[in-house]
Amino acid sequence: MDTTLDWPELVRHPGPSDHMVQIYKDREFLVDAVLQYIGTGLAHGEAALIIARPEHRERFLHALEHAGHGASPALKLLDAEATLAKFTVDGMPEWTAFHSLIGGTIAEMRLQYPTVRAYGEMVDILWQRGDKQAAIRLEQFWNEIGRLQTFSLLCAYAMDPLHGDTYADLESICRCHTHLIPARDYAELNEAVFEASLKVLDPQLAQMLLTLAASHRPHTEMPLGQAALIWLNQNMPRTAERVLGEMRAQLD
Amino acid sequence: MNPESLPSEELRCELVALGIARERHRLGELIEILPARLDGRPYEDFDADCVAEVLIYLLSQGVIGNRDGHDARLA
Repeated sequence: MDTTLDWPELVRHPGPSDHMVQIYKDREFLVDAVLQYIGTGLAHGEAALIIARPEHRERFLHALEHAGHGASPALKLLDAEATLAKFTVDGMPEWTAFHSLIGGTIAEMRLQYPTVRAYGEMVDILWQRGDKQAAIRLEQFWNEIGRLQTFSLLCAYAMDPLHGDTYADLESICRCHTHLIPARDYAELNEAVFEASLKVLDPQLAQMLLTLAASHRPHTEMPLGQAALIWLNQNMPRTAERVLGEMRAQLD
Repeated sequence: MNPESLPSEELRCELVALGIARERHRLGELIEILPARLDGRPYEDFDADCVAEVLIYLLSQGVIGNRDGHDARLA
C-alpha cells in the first residue's frame, strides 16, 4: 500500500523547510494546489509570497478572493519575469543578487509573521526557455536560502508526466526537492501504473518489477506509481515508454 | 507473442556483453532464461525488447546468472 501523503494534505500542512514541486498539464490543478497551499497559510495567520506570471497571478488571486483571502496584507505578489531579471546575469541566476532580493523579502515577511509560504515559477520560466542549467541553479539557490531561513516553498513546472521525454528532466528536478506532486489523484496514478505494467509485461514479472521499484524509491517523496515510472525509465526505458503509452491511452 | 522475434540491435549488444550469445536472442529462448513463474505457468504475452530489458537488469544486478555465460562470451 502506498502511504505517501496526498497532495492536498501535504500543501496545506507543509513541513517548515519543505521544498515541494508540482508538475502539471492541467492549469486548474496548479490553481487548486496554490489555493490550498497559500489559502491555508493565510487562514493560519502566516505570510505568503507568490512569484508568478501575470496570467497565473490573476487566476490565483481570483481563487484566493473567492475563498476569502484576496485582500490579505500578509500576501505579497511579485512578477516572475521581472523578479528573475533582477538577479540574472548572462542568463544565469547570480547568488548575491538573489540572496539580497529573495532572502531579503522573506526575512522582512518573517519579522511580521510566524511562518512564510512561498510559491515560485521563475524556475519554470527558465525551464520552458530551455535554460535548464539556470533553472537547476535557481533551485539550488532556493535550497541555500532554505538553509539560512525557515520557510516552505512550492515550485511548479508545466510538464506532462505521461510523456517519456519528461523523465530525464524529472530526475534532475527531483534531486532539488523534498516532495513531488505529479498528479491530482494519487490512487488513480498508482492504479494506472499497475494496470499498464500488467498489460505490457507478464503479470508476475510486472509485480516483481514494481516491488523492485518500490524498494528503490528516490529520496524525494512521491506516490509509489510515480516512483515506479522513474525507476522503470532509469532501468528499462523501452518498457517504461510502453507503460506510459498504455497509461496515456487509459487516462488521456 | 512470436517466439521467433528478436530484440533491438542495441539490446542484443547488451545481452552479448552480459554473456547471452546472439544465437540465443529469440524471444522463446530469452524467456527460458527468466526465473520460472511461481505458479509454474508459462509467461504471458510480451515482446522481445521488454524481455531483453528485464533480463539485462536481472543479469547486471546479479539477481539471476547466465548458466552458459562462459561459452556465450566466447561466442
